[in-house]
Amino acid sequence: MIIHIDDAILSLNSTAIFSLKAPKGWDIDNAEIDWLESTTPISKEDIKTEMERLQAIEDA
Amino acid sequence: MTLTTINLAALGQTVNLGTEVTGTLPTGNGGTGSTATTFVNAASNVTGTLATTNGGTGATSFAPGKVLQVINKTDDTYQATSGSSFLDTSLSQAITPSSTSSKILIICEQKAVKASGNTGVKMRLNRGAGAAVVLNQFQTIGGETEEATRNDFGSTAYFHLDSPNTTSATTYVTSFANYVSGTGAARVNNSSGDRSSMILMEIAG
Repeated sequence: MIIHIDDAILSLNSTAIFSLKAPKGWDIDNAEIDWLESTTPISKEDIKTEMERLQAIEDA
Repeated sequence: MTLTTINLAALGQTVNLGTEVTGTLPTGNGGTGSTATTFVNAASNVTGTLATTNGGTGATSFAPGKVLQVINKTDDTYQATSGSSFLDTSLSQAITPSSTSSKILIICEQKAVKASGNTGVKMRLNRGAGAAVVLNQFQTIGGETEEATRNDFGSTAYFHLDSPNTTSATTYVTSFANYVSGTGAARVNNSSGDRSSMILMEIAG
């Protein structure tokens, strides 16, 4: 399974309210993320790092 | 003269069909069997309606029900939301009706998934951005499997005949939402290669 951007966001903050749009689900570099309902934004770098961590677990 | 047989070889000369031939060529010889001497020029002398009993349509106009234009849109943009407020997708297409009486037939298929969390996904078909007019919806808990880690879901199809009553550009768009805010995420066009589509057809009213 390929880890998607929202997988990483919810891993970092399971109650985050957000919406996002990207060419592909894993394309964090080109993603547009809107943080809703006063959710504290998470940086793309942190999301990318979490995606890589989760993908490594998935692939192990 | 009643013409029965012409043997060109025996005549040893040509026959001018325009001036020298009269009478009826039987159907058995490739003719029509008609005894008419005057024929209708279909290109210039035929007007009005051909009755259905004569093989016509009986219609005086072909406008009602005629397809005036067709627009196709496909979209593979990935979108996700954890909120329960509807979010417009990128599957959005405008059409400009040629008449206020025209109807718009919308044939739409939107791929969606509830990727995580133990609820589902809600889907809508709208006229206008921001769910200005909700035409159709799938708002039960699509994709719920009581499995908290993943609730896969296929796609939602809409077939809707709309009467926008305008000649201004009219946009149709799908929207989606997480069934319960903060319970995982709902997605559209989840996997690589997923592609949703919308066909708009203007039908003469």
